[in-house]
Amino acid sequence: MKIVGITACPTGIAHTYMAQECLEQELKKRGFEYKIETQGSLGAENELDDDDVKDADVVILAVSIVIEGEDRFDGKPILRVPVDRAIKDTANLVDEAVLLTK
Amino acid sequence: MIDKQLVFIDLELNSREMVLDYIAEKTMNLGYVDNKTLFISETMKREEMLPTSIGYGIAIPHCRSLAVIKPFIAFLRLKNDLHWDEKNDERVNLIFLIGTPEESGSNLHLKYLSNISRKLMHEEFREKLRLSKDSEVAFNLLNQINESIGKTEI
Repeated sequence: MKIVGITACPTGIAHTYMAQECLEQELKKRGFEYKIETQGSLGAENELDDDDVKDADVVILAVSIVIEGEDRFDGKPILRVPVDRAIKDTANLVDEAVLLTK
Repeated sequence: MIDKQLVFIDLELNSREMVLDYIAEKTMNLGYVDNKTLFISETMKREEMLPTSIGYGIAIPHCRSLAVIKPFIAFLRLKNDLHWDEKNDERVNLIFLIGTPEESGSNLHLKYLSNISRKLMHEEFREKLRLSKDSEVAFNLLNQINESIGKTEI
């Protein structure tokens, strides 16, 4: 299973990075492959390139603003949630993403 | 980045308003903020958009404001825990208040905030903050993050 995603919040100061960390911890725990891009006050970091996206089984967008480059994921199953859910309800969120691959 | 004078351990404050007022007063006296009323109202405006209690007993109120002259991050550990926002049931006892000037400029500051945000998602780090016996120990924990940034950033 390979999951990629993007996190982004209105001020781009804290939630973006917390959400990334929570997702990474959960995905690592499950032994999945993963890469999570952040779009925050520092600009885009850990950016997903074409290869990352091509191999992904599902995309998690934990975003509360309009993000850059969403067209990268055309044709992929996408789970879109508010950014704080990735922090407070990470395990259930990942369960839902996995269901989308079936 | 983190100022030892802005690390407060085992305070008793019973509302979000009291917390903001307390820190705003301190940051005024230390020259981080030059308009306490504006700073509080902008931080509250952000809270009203979306409360900054993030689970795990933590809240991270913050704003980008003209009232902030120098970026700062204040840390408070409460003796009690308080009901942060009426819209949910979350109780909070660790609070990070973050102030960023309108023209933030410094990437280093933002880098610090992103690192501490990530760090807070680790249970072990939260435990250490909760168990720190005084503000010195808590300061050292928070300051380690500073140092690790200093090394990677040139």
